Amino acid sequence: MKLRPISILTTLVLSSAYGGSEDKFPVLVRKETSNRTHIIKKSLPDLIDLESFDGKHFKIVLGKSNRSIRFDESQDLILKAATVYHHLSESRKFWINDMKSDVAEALPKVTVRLEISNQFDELGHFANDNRAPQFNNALSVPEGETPSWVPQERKDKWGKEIWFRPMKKILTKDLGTLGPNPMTLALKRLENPLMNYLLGQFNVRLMENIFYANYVTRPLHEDAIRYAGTLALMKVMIQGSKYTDKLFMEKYYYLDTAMVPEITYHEYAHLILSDKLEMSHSTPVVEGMADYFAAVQSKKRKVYAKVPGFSNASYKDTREKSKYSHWDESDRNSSSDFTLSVLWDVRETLGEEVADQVIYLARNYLRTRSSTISDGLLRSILRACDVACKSPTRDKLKLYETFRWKGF
Amino acid sequence: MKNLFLVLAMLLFLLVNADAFEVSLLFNNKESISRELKMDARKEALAWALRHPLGEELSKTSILALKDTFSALEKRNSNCDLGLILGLGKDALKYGLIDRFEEVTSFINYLRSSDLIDDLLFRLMRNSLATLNEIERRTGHKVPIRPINLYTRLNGGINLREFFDPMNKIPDDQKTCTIDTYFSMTNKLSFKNKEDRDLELYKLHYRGVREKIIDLKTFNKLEALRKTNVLDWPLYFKQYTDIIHNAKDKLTKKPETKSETHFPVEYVSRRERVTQRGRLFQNFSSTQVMMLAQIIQRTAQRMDAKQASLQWDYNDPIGEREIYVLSPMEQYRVALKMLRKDMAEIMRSEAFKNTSLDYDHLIAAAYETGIVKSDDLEYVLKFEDFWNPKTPKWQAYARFAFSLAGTATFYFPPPWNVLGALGLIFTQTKVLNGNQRPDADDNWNVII
Repeated sequence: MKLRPISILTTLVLSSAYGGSEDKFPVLVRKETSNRTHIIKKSLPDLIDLESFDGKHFKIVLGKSNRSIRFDESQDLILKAATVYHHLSESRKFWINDMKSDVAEALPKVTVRLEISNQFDELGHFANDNRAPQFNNALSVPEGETPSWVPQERKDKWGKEIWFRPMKKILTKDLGTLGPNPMTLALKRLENPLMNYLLGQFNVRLMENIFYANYVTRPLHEDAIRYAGTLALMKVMIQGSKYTDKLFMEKYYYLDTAMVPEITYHEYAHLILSDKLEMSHSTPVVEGMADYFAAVQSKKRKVYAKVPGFSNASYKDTREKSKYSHWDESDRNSSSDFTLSVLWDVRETLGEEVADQVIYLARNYLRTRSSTISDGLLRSILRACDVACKSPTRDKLKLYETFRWKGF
Repeated sequence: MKNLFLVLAMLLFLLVNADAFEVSLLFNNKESISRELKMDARKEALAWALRHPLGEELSKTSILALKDTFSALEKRNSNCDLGLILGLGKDALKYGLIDRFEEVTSFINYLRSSDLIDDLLFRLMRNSLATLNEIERRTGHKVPIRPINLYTRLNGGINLREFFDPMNKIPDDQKTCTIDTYFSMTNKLSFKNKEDRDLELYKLHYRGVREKIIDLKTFNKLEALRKTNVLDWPLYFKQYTDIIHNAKDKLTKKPETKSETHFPVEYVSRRERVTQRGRLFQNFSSTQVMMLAQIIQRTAQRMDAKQASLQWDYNDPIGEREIYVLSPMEQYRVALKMLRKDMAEIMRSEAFKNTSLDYDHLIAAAYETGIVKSDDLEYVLKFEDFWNPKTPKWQAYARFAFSLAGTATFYFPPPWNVLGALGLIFTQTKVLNGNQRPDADDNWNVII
């Protein structure tokens, strides 16, 4: 139901924005000062075809097709294609101008597939249509070709690609456990201080009873029962709060990755970093690094924030305060914001310019055998600091302190 | 032929300059502010420099004078405190920096204000100058009245002739030093404390002149030495030159030109005006300073090492072994723990003879030798926090306040007692526990 008002709004904006004008396209962007989005008209740079989204550096196609999306397609598709094209162009500009990346400069034309639900097959490009279709995510695909033994009619060769999956509303409860809700967390944080406080109070009452028994009107056991009751109530509240998950989450989950600008930055970052970061590296490290550069480009504290009508997924917080746990290394937690927050702390320690270079450079020192957050990532950042920091000794000491605060 | 002359000229130049003192060692690049030169003296020194006839050449000429003085001292292998100021005065006169010896005060004030010397040398020069002036002032003084209780049990039996013998040879403050001679004399004395030592010395000086073992001039000189506390100076020229020559900036290729940190001039004892750097010079020789600095150097190397690992050689016939590679943070923590161990070991070593060391000594030594730069010092100082965490004062007060408030809520009438307690717990969780440093033991992915 949530989709209806935004669809109407989108249609209205599109009809006014794309009323036959060929050089300006409707694009979804975030406002500068907040995470709110709006649709504005923008010219798309480096288009080489006058009738479709085929540019010098990017070609936007639909599904498995190799033909670029034409400007006379449906307005929703035009919006999506133009949004992706615009943010990819912005991202390319960032990597070339701000990061001085040779990789971005030399990157061949990238094919961007929208609404593709097929799985990626390293040997055949697209997996069969009936093989568990994918929704609500995006991925970057390394270049490749089918092996020589594949029959001629199925032979294929492809360059670097970015795939955006179709959006699909799914029940949130089907996503599995999402950890304790905020109320449970808050009550758990209070549990120990409350226990200490009650113990302290009980000690005071005990001493009063021993030394000033004549002045105490209320018997000690009454207070003891009150304290025990308070503790029991706390326990009950903590248990009870576990059943309030519904208060903190929506019934459905949906994510149109092509319409979240930071996801486009994230996927493009994967392409740039893939010159050194292969798929064999730790997923939390690889994803965290792409998250970092997406966050840098978005210039927002909270990245991947909701986009009404297109995404109700939760954001990632660059200033997430959680401490390191060995669970952060598991692939299951690769979508958490922990690695992003570590890298963001590095940015706050070293300063924007230096940190961006240090983190970009760090990919050169990541080794598959030690590709973990606590070992490989930290070691490669420290090594990169030797090269890119203004005062390596001082800055590395600052980094050690930062990592220490993060619980490493 | 021309080339031969050139080579000979170069050799001659090297020979001539072999004895020349490296004057840049004296320049102050370790103290960010002066604790010794007061504002008035600084202003006076600037005014003196402004009206000096040498004008812009003053600085260069002062360096020449310093170089001559220290080269001469080095050539003679002399470390006399009084000789230093006498020599400097003479060279300053030679270069036209001062017109008469009395102007040396202004000259050394100028040297300090323009960072051509540091606080330690400045204080040393000022003390020496005060002693020379006191010797001068006492010339012609008569023998004072007899002190009470002239013969004491402690030093009554001293052979005065033997006691004053070193002084009768009249030190020239070039090869033999007045202060060193005075030290060797007083070493024979027995005394309870500093005040008692001074009183005993006065009595012995008096007996020496009364019994005509020393003349009035020597008596006045000895009294000048006693009055100017030469036995209690925090630092002597010999100690100073030892560290300046053999330790200062010895472990760096690029010494800093200016200090940006206050650590070396932090007071260790405000009453005696001893700074961190002063304490280092006072307590340790150059060899010890180098040893202390090397502990920090080694720690930095351990942190920076490409890789560190633990190895277990199993006690089995195949000789199987297990190697655990430390993560960067484990390497960091191990390096800091080993630093503490190194400190313990060096304290027990023969070179330090069970001297109690603290972390500040190490940092001061590392800074003096140039391993640690001003910029890094703030962060190196935090290492100690790893094994010796300090509770900030505000936190101690906050804990006390919370404990008082906790008891107070007990006496509030309902419902304020419950509300107060809840509010207190919230605040305490936020203020005191919110900023707690994580414990490495909570991290299952590391072993240290």
